[in-house]
Amino acid sequence: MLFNSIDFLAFFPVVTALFFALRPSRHVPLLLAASCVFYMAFRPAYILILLVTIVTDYFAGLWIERSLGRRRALWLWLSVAVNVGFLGFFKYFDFFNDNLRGVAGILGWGWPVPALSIVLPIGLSFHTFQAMSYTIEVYRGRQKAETSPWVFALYVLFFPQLVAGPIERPQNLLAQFRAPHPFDYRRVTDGLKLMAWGLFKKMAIADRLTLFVDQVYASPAGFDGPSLLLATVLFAVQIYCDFSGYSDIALGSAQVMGFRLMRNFDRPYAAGSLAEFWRGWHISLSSWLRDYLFLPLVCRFSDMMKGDRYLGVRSEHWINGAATIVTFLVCGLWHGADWTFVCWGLLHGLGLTAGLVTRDGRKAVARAWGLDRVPALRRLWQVGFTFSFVCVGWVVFRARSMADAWYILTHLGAGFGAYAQAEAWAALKSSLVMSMGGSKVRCLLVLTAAAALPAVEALQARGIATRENLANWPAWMRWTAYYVLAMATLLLAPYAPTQFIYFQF
Amino acid sequence: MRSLLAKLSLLSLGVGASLAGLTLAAAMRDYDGDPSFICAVVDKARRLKSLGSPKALFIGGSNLAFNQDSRRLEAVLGRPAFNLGLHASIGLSWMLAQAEAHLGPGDLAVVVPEFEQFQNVYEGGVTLTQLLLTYPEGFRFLRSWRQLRTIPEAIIPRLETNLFWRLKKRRVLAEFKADPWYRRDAFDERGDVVAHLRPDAAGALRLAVEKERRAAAGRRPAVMEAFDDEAKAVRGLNVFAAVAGSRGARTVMAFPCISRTTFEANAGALRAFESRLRSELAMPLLGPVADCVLEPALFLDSAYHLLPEGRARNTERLASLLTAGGYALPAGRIY
Repeated sequence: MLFNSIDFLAFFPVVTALFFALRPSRHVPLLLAASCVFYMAFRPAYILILLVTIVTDYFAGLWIERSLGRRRALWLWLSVAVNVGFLGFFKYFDFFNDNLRGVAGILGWGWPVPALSIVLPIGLSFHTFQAMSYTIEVYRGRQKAETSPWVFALYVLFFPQLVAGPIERPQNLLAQFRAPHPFDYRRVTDGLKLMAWGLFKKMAIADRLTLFVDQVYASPAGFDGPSLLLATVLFAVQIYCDFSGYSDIALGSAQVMGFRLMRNFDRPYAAGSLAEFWRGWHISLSSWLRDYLFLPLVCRFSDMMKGDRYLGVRSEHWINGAATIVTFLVCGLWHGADWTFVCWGLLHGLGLTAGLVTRDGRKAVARAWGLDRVPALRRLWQVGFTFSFVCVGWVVFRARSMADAWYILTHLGAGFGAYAQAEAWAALKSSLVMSMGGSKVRCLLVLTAAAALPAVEALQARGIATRENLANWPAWMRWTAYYVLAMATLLLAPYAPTQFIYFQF
Repeated sequence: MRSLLAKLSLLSLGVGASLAGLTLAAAMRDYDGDPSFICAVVDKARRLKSLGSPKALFIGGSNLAFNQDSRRLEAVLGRPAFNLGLHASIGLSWMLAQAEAHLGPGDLAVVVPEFEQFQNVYEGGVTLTQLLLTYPEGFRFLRSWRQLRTIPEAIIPRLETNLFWRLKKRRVLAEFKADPWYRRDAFDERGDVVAHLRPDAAGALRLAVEKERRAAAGRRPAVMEAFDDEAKAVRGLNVFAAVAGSRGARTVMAFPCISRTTFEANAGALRAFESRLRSELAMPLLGPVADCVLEPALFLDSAYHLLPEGRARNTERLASLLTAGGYALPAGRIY
């Protein structure tokens, strides 16, 4: 079930009404049933995968807690193997199989293993990682094993964040299922506002921009440099509005019922470095990777590298660099079974490593150029550079193949000369307007909304124009604002069914 | 909780009323002077009403509009032929409902749907909404609520056009005049697009072909694996065949033309699709899908639109299939 569908428009009020009508002791069964309905709307049989995951991790948690020594690790690895096994089978089997077939072909060998060509269970990577975080936390002794199978099942299945996160930690979510959640007007309306804002970002901005982006990325050879550049920048906006919009709806719908989910975005495009970008982009995944992959890798590599320097470079750089690159290769592969995602991850890994290694040098250059005396200018440069780097990454991420990505990256600067003529601008404008539905007014409104988004978020970050402030406005102003937001969402959105980009991961 | 529900209901009511009002405002315009391609639906509907029985109706999207010579088929079939083809994304369901309302004894309905009609792509889209706002009579041919879902999406462009119509009429008309064939007057009296056949369109045709070749160079053939709306489309076709049969009309389906590159990329899926259709369809299916394959050089500016040479070849293909199928009226029965 999509958040931006008529089905969800009927589903959510019914579930919420029942939630507040029933006694707190009935909340878990209700939410569990609702989550099953929500998930089974995609492909009913795939609920069995979740069932196996739930049963495995539930018992693994209990056994890890009751065991000592190597047995604990054994249960943990069993749980990880089942989770990763599902992920590997459904998501990566065809990818590795195709590549092995290619290699075998080059070597002149036969490759008898056929492709599976099965449809990827929706949100598989998300709920697998969430389930894994539970057993790891129990193993590390930071979370008590959940004794109720129903509460644990709800932890994996909770519908607001089931298919695209945020990837929750057991410490945050499990306890909330046991707490009572009475109706609270302020909290419910805050949640609804967040949902409305998320729907606006998703439907009015992301879904409209995707019409132009998809057209350009479907056949990049048919477009000039400025069109490719525009499509790339608009994709950066699109993917942000799509995923942060989804996260807002997830957080909002959970908040309506009294659950707090972790924040998934914090103004990532205002970041002055790649490290800062990853502290604001898909926070639940980046923190998962940091806690369960990067830090253990750093520990492991530190044990392996005892010396101060290797090849003249400080060993801490080697350790961090290697751990970062491995982590981001996994991050890329997590996003999809394709070389484009692997390269995207590698690019970010290399970028972060380069940032780390050159940090002192960059500071020295900034000092030498006097940039440290004008911090605003320095910050502007940093944000601009980071955003450009991220956009280069998005080209690789969005392109249908590495060949397309290479074509786009090598042609981003081509064809600008023609824009000395008004006709070239007119053609670009016309292509943008036509692909976005043929209305200049609507195109202008969507682009204005997209351009205004950073300003709105900057104000929100400073405590202005927040949902809390909105509650202090006079009633007529507030309801006018809600009316305008609802009308804008309905009138600017395209109505062909569109999934959230991150659902495929 | 009650106060919240009351407020939300009031907001929903306000939004609903505003949308209804705006939809009415968007539909309120005289489209007789509108030169846009989709407005040809008004002319086609007018012409369709004036046709008696027996007649041959060709039902499909723009593949039909561009790819056949109805005058030639009329001669072969021995009855007036009318091409209803306009735009694939109107959706098969609406096309069939429109044709169904005009079928009488002795009529022949030839359905040539694009493959996408079986792929859950066109059930209610922006084009259908534009068509409905242009031709409100078309509302009676709707068969599901899903077909109405894009109404809000059409409101802004429609209001924009309506608001500026008087101011920009001359410019809009000039722009449409400059468009070689995607305009209302591109059709002849039998419903075929003929603007690209006119001698003065030769230059534009050459440019369009060159542009298409360039775009095609960086494009992969479309993959047609999932015919995920097939059951529904087949059900619609079977109901249509039953209703037509009850009125004494005959129905038949044919495949649209497809380029060799697209066919080769999808040969297995298309053959399997054809074999399923043959067992499930309650109307005859003319010719194998492999016979509809034409060289890419015969295509104009989309996966379905043919150049004049391709159009002539496709017309002859249809003519011979219909003749061989026994759909031509005996000589002397001509209207």
